[in-house]
Amino acid sequence: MPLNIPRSQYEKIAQHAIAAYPREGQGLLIGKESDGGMLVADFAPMPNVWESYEDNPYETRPQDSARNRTLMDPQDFIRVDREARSRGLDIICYFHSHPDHPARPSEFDRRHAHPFLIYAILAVANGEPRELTAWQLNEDMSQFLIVELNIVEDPA
Amino acid sequence: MGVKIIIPTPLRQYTAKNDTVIVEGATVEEAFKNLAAQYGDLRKQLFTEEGKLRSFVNIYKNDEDIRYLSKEQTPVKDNDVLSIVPSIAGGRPSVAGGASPVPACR
Repeated sequence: MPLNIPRSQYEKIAQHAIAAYPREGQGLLIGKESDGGMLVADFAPMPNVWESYEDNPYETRPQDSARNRTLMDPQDFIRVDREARSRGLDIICYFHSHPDHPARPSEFDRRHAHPFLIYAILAVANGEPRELTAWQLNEDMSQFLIVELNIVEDPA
Repeated sequence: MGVKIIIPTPLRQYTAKNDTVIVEGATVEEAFKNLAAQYGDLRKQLFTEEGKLRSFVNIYKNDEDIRYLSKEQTPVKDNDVLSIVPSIAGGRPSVAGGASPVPACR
């Protein structure tokens, strides 16, 4: 099912990723199924707490930082999930940026991904937004499959 | 009456699309055992084979992380709300010296 992102929401995503550069930016896309696709209604940017969260459950090597990792504060997830449900929407996609790296999921992305959540990645090269791609784990969670992504006109 | 468990989007496929499930239980552990008994496929997502809560799963009782309460033994009562919150992370491959001023990942 394609991920359809209205142009105004794409602009919010890109601006967030530019502001975060050279660190990774992140956020959640909320929306719902519409016309055979998942239509994004809103982008909720979130601070990247990789370097500050006390209970980071992920393996952390000396070379890891917010330049190559993102982590979401669970409180931010609760807040956005609650807001989405109050609007009759769902969290449909997790977004993060790859500073100076292609918009392809890393092995870290694959190993830690949740099935049935779309993962969108924006490459940011020298502070400029480049390719935006979307991915979803296959059923046995062994690999990411590309999801069709369309930038669409804003709903009237 | 019972404890309300809020299921986040990525896990609703295991709960027949339900976004909230009401269960009985006097502790977080009991409530989740009852939840897992109702939705067997959810068990693997939340617990290890040894029955421990997975490290990439956070549980909040009325907006407080149970790690800072009494963990799985945290008492719950009717009308308490438990939220299951998946840890979400991402990243690009790092390079040696990834914290240097000029990231040079290729």
